[in-house]
Amino acid sequence: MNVKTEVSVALVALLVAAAIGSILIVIAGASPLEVWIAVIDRTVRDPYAWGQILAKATPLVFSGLAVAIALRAGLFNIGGEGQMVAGCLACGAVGAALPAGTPAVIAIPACVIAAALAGAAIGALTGAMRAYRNAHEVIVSIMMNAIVGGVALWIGNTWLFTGGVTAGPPIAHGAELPALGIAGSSANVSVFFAALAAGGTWWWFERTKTGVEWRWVGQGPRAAATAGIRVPRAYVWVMTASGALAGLSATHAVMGWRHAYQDDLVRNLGFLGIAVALLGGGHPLGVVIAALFIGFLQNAGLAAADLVPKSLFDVLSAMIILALAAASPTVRRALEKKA
Amino acid sequence: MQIEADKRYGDNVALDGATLSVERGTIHALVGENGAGKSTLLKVAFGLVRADRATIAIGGQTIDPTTNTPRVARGRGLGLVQQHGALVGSLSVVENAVLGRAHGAWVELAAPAASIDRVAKEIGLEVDPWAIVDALPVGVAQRAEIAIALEAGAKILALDEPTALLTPQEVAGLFAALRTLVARGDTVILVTHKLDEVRAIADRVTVLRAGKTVATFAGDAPTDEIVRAMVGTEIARVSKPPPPRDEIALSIEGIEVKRGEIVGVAGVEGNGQRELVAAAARTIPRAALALIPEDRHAEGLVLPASVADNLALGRLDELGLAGRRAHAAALCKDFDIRPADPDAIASSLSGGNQQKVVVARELTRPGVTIVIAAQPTRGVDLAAIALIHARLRAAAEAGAAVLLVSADLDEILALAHRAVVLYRGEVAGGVDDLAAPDAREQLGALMTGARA
Repeated sequence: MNVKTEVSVALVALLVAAAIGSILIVIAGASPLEVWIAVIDRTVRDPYAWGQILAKATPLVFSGLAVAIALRAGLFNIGGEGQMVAGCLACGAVGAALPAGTPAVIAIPACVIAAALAGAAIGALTGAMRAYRNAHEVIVSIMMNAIVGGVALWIGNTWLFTGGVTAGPPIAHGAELPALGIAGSSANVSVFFAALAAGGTWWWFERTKTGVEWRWVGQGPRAAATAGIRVPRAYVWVMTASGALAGLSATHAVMGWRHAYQDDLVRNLGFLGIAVALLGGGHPLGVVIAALFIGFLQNAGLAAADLVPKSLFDVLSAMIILALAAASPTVRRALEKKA
Repeated sequence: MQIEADKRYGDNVALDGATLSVERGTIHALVGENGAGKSTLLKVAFGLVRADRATIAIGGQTIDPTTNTPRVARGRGLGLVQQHGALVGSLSVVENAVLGRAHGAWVELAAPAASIDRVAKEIGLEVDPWAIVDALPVGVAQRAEIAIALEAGAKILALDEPTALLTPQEVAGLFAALRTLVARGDTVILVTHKLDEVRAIADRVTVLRAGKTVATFAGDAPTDEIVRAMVGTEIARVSKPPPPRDEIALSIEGIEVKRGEIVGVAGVEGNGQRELVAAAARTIPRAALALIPEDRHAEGLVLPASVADNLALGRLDELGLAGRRAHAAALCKDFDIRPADPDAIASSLSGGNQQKVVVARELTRPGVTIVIAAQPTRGVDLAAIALIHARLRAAAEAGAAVLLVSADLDEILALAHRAVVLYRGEVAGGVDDLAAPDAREQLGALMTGARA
């Protein structure tokens, strides 16, 4: 993958989105320049904003990586939403089931593994449907999202939720990931887990035989199969890993932030992960940068809430995805012509 | 018709002042290696490709190359039969004929159909205007394409590698039709890389190399001279491998191959070759098998990956990640892969070098006892063909059982010990003595199902 091309594609998409965003700001009755300056100024000066951006970026790194590794292997995992819910539910349930006095060395690994396994199970099922039944992974993931969402709500209502709210009991104290203490923001230790996941993903695709083979499967599945690589098996494992990464977003949402399973903890984060992966060019470092950027945008809505409606920044996030999807082939072609 | 043209694709020079001058009422062959610019030159003439600079004259009238389109070219009496059939498969022959020239709400089919029937019969071809193209065998679809071009008023008919998919008998029929055409004053341009065809039918032959016109010969010029003009050097002929050992190594669908033996599998394409190769790939353990697949782009190579990666495809357990570069450097040298750069992206290589990558990866697998090569030299330049043939021969000499599936009879006659013919999914028969003077005719008869 050509890094220069990917960066240029992302930049062009951002410029286009910023231009359209400015028009929307004018329509909303504010001055674009004033809003942009306010957003940047208030973000840069405010440590709480930094922390919030980190906190918002953390689950996006997981869901972005999940989409990115599947893309690398030629699969489109849009099931992040369901895989994240499964991870959070398992993580919250295990965390709540642990005895109150469970030490962190046991409680944290138990919850992390539960989150990863639950996401992995959904991913593996999706991958197996694709690999052995030739059911398209996009269709399967959409259906899995609906199934997992519904089942999770049912499980929550039946066994977890108490006192008329859609929130489960708190997890054991030992399973909580401490906050980083950035001006009272919700950034927590799961930030390091996300960084580790990004580094690990990079290492996997660059330095392991299986990772390199997954890349080949993505770039030329028939050639890989003809040369003796077991493509169906690769599909199952890629989707398993992808689901596990999505599930690990529970380390932030459940273990680091809410300290309990809640019904809408990760709503839309799975879909935003698609944008993060595309914006990041599928590269782990790109995913981290893109996640921080989306986090910045989400926070910007709050930072400029007195000037324009917050929903304008939600629109802007969506527009960046659109601009990216539209710009990517055109810009890539233009750059390739020049090269 | 006269044409001269320049055309670049990025840094790639396709045509560099190539010229072609064709006299009325002659058959003019256009030869050259892959990438020499033959097809591009024709496409410029027919308005399918816009040249960077071109002068085109037809019957003394110049055509403005900047406004040349297929419609304009057709209006000037040009007809092109493209390499991969340009008809819409789900439509009938006559519907294809009126495609792009029908006006108004109603499509008149009866008159064009009668007209197609008439022009085809005039040159001795049988074409059913109402047949659906997809249902026609390749050779018949090609006849239909010729008839459509003639019905549209073509006086200059250009055919791009028309014999690639035909049996010897169909080739003879096609050539008879072309001779009838020129006898009545029409003109034929024949793009080919088969020099025996040039000798058989062409009045003159123009040789292109690297986008330039190298020479124009009379059609009966010595083949060696034409080859030298095409490649710039002499090509060594590959001799047959030594006799096989008396030990059967491969038995598939009734075809038995001994150790050290090359068995050719001939047949018109689509008669079960793909299925045969797929069956072999399923049953033979991959470690023992060198498989050169038919579709180089989809099955042979991971195009966006590097040469080093492609040479290690499916062999990482043996080579390791770190071993890729040294392995690639050695194979680039050994198989003359150009550029000899392990980091070059496979899609940027020429067809011949891409195929060398596939051949190098497969034939150098350790523990190979069976080689299955499907159309190993299709669309590959002469130098690469010589290298690939030499390597297949060497593999047999080293004791491997080689199954050579090829639509190119010359390839089978040159390389194989014996040949079998596939027809409608079955082995229709075989020819054990390929040195026999009538070996080609025997194979041709089997290919058409004449003898079961």
